Amino acid sequence: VFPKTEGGSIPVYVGVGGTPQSVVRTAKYGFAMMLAVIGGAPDRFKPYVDLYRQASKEFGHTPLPVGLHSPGFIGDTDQQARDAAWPPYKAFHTKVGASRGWPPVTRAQYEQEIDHGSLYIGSAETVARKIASAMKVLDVNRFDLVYGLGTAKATDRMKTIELYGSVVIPRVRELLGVE
Amino acid sequence: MNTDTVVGILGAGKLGVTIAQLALAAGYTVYIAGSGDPVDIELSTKIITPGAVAVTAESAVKRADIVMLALPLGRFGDLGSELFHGKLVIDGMNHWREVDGPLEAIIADGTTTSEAVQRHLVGAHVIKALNHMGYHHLRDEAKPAGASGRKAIAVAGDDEPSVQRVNQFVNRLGFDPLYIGGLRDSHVLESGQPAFGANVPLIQLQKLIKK
Repeated sequence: VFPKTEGGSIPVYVGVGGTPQSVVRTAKYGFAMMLAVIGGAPDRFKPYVDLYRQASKEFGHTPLPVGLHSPGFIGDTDQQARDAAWPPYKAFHTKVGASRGWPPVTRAQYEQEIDHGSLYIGSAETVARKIASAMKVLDVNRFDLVYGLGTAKATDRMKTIELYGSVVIPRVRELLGVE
Repeated sequence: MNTDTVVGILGAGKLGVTIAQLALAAGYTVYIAGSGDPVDIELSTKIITPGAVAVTAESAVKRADIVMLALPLGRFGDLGSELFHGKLVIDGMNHWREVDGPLEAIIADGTTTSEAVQRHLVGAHVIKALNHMGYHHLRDEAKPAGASGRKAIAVAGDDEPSVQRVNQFVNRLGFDPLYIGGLRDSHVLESGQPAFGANVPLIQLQKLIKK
């Protein structure tokens, strides 16, 4: 790693998707685990968190933190965020989908993914509540917001970062009752 | 009368695990096999799919009334075809270039992937099903028969009694089965087609198939 750090070690997370053996492998080598979730209800990953913690013990490691990593976009209101995030989400989905044989995503699918799946899109309060709820259900220690949705406008990205840091994170801490 | 009670799943990845969860919830006995030693997946099976039993691929096929293929498409040629004689086999596999390499390298030109699987597994009854919906949708969308907004799963196959058995399996898992024709016709379910990725009720799936 360059430039050199001041010292000490850098925490390393291994990213995993939905393959159980990836979880077991992460535990085996004693790394922290980041669940990369881009679609569907987050609660389905709870058994993966349990698996990581159980496997870590069986391999003789103290389980390290588990994180959740999902895409999002934060705006002034729920509606404003949904409207502004739709074009970049659609463009990103179409680009990735083309290589995987998916047909183009519809607005209805997008709304469904926001309401019930793994898109953290909306006002700061809405996004904070969704993050807190997912972290609680999964019993994870960290959340990564994958911001920008590929091609979101610079001003929208700045707003997401600003609201994430100044409003969402403190609110999630408050909702979870942690410092 | 359909008496299928045991499901043998080949592939302990995303799809295999999801089908195992749905089949267990529907009351089936489930055996699951990964690509390696069953011991390797014992812990993950115990926690992710409690109730399922990790076994070798050979054992999963032998014990199963219904065999589910949930391994990378590029690997089906490794399956010993004699094991599958007389078996009902559901092909849920899709071509993923990143994993399987170019399609032309594994499937003869003008053939559907499921026809190729059937040709390899001579003597088995291969039915294509459970391939078009993403695994996370399969997990989230399963609903009891008659539930409003229930989603549909397309089924393609050449052997009528086998199709009926798969229809019932799909129904018990939590989806409306939609018969769309023989294996020859199953290209409409492959990647790049309008119905690929479909997570919709029956009427809408019919429309996507016709496109």
